[in-house]
Amino acid sequence: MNLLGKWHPGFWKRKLQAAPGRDVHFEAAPASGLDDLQMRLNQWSDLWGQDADPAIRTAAQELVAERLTRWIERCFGQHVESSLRGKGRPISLASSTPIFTAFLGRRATRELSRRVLQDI
Amino acid sequence: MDAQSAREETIQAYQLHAGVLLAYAHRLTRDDPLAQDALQETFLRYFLALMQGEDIRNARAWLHRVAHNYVCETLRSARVRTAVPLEDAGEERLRDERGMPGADRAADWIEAARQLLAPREWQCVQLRAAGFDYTEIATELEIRPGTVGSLLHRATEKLRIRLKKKERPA
Repeated sequence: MNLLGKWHPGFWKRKLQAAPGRDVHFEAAPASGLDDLQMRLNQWSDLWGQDADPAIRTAAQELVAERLTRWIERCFGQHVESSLRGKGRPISLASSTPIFTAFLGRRATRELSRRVLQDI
Repeated sequence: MDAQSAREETIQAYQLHAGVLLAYAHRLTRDDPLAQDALQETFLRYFLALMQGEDIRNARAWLHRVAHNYVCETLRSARVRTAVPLEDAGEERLRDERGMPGADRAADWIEAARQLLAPREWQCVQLRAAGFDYTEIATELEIRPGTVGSLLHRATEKLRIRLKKKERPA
């Protein structure tokens, strides 16, 4: 084995494969994980736009709006929150994402969205 | 991007990359449930990024970076939560020492290398071993490809010196 002369990825590949815990091979995508993921994505997609009539909103939609309002107030103050709300329409992830991205950046906005959708 | 397209793209990315990503997360954590969590979280974040209109050019590198960050953050917070009280530290150390000599040689070698190398160098080595090229490593670590070369060179030098020392014991 010639590790001394040159960078040798094959060496590391063999070493890492021989390490304990490497006996499990993950060649295919785990199916159970895909089911869970699909379920979450469907739920989150429904919650993203939230353009339903405020009178028929679900508890999850209410929770998302409440959390978003809290974040907007915390980041920008009450004034922005009321202007975002506009003509009586509830705040949604779709409507608030541009302003969050502009002021906080993409990464922080992604983290914020993740927290808003936490446990839903 | 609309929700339907983002969902479809996430599922497609999952089918393409989940196997490799799970292996990567498992290699970082050596813990099945945590690796599974990292996998789910990574794809959920991928979906959110698409919904936010993020332009992800190299999905594989993006997913690996997010998985890596998630694992690091989780392990860091877990380490803080499970900090050993000072009075138990001696007992803990003894248990560690008893466990070490019996461990597999390859694992010892990897652990020694991990301790020897700087975190960035170790990340580069791991990604190179996983089959990433310099450009992909650079994208994932948000550095220039030239820096990847330097980091790998430095890592090799450190290992070379360590091996020489081992060959010629004082």
